[in-house]
Amino acid sequence: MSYFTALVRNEWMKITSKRQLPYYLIFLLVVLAAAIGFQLWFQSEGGSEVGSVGFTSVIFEITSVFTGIFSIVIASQIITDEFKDGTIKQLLIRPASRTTILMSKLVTIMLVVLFVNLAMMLVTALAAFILFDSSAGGIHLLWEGTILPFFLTLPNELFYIFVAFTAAVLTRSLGLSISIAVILNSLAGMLIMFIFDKPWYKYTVFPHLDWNSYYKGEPPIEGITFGFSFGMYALYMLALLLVSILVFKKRDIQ
Amino acid sequence: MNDIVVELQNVTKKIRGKTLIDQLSFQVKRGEIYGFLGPNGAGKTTTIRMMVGLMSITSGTILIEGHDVVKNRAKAMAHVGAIVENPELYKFMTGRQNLLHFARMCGKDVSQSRIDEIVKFVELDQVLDKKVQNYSLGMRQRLGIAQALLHQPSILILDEPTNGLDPAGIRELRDYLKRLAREENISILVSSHLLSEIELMCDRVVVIQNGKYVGEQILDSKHTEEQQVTRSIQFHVEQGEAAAQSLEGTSYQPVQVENNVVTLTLTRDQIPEIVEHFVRHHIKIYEVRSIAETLEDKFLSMTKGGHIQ
Repeated sequence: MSYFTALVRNEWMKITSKRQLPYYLIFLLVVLAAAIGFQLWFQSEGGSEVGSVGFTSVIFEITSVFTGIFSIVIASQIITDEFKDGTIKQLLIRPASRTTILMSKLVTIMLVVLFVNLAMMLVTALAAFILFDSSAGGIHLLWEGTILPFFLTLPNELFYIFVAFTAAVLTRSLGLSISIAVILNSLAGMLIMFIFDKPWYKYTVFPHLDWNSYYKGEPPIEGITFGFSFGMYALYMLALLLVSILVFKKRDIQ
Repeated sequence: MNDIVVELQNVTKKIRGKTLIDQLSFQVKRGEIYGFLGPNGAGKTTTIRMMVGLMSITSGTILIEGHDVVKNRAKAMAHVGAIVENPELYKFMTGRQNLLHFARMCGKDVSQSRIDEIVKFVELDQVLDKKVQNYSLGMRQRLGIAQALLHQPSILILDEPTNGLDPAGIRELRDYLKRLAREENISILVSSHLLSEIELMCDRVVVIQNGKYVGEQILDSKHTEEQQVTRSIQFHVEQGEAAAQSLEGTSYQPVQVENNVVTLTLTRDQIPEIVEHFVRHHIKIYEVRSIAETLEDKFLSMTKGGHIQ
């Protein structure tokens, strides 16, 4: 087991030992159960039946919004809790460099986000295929309707995770870093309304977060390529990463 | 193996133009308990934070087992076990999970038998699978020591380790540390502003004030038994003046005569000679007492009356 893997396992152990993750998974299951219950009641009252692929796609779309916010919370918390409890000192007096510590935390968050989303996708699909009508289509429709869109929205989710993570390193405050990421996330739509016709709009990060549009064949701004979007996205992500590493490395721990 | 485990060379720390630590140098030898003493605000914690890499060093060098803590961090830190201020642990995890966490971090393989050994040493085997939030402060302190010792470091750094412990807990900790230094040949650096504490557990002590080196003192009792060391001896006699007069013409001169107490500065071998002298002059002796200069006296003279608690 490499040293880095050991650090990631540590972070994973810490996240799974806190109450948040299990409680959040229970919350997701309650949402799923309620949706299933409502649909079954709706059908028994004579409402139209739902296809299992369609049900999965709708439910997963809703829960992945929740998971987006949840991942912002844990991306902040994985940093701020160590400062709050003073355990940051324990982490930083080990052979591991500060950059390595930071990277192990980032990798762990990405693993948690993948785990929660994929687990939810699997459970929802399983329940839907058992309970609802599957005649309309099988796995390949699931790929089109749920799995692929999820991976194409992942860059968007990851961006706000990086924002929360960097804000947490800078501010060391849980409330502040969650607020910054959530507010940016919810105001992005409005912000775009104001700036989408500006010539420099294509150099902001916002048009490059939605990769679904490229899949649909309609680029977010006319004339730009996926390569350009990918490059801009990578640039912003790298900048956030660099800021968090530099600040974290330089900081005197009181 | 080198006999010097930790070495500070002209270490200086400045924050915004203010000098917190000024050209501080000292060495910690293998297997000794080294006290790091100074009034509150003298810069003890700052120095320790530089030693473990929590704070940057403005100038100077800190070597641990010969490795520079800045340039060769991973190698230096592999030899260090530390508790900076409180024993910070993950309260939401069990003692066992905490140990596993720190074992994975130390950069070398820690065997299960080593973990068992340490747990037995700090007597936590009964509560190891309980969450740390249910531990008493003493238990947390012990778990803190256990995690610091997992990788068999050559230096254990403890910053104010007895803060918040009750007298029984302090005594217990002191006994652990002494056993550790003796049985595992680990050097221990203990910072404290409490003289009595340092006096009871350390072999050697360095005193700092306002971030500057003030002095170093050997506390080990076997050194004070040395033949050539002079000390103040009080003779409680029936008549002080008569006793002082009897000494006239000899090579011994009383330092002080007060309330029938004659004080002389003598080596160990000279004490029976004086007793014999008094007896021959029919001076009744009620008590002979050796007045050792206490660490407190030395500390106060070193820091020129700087406040201590």
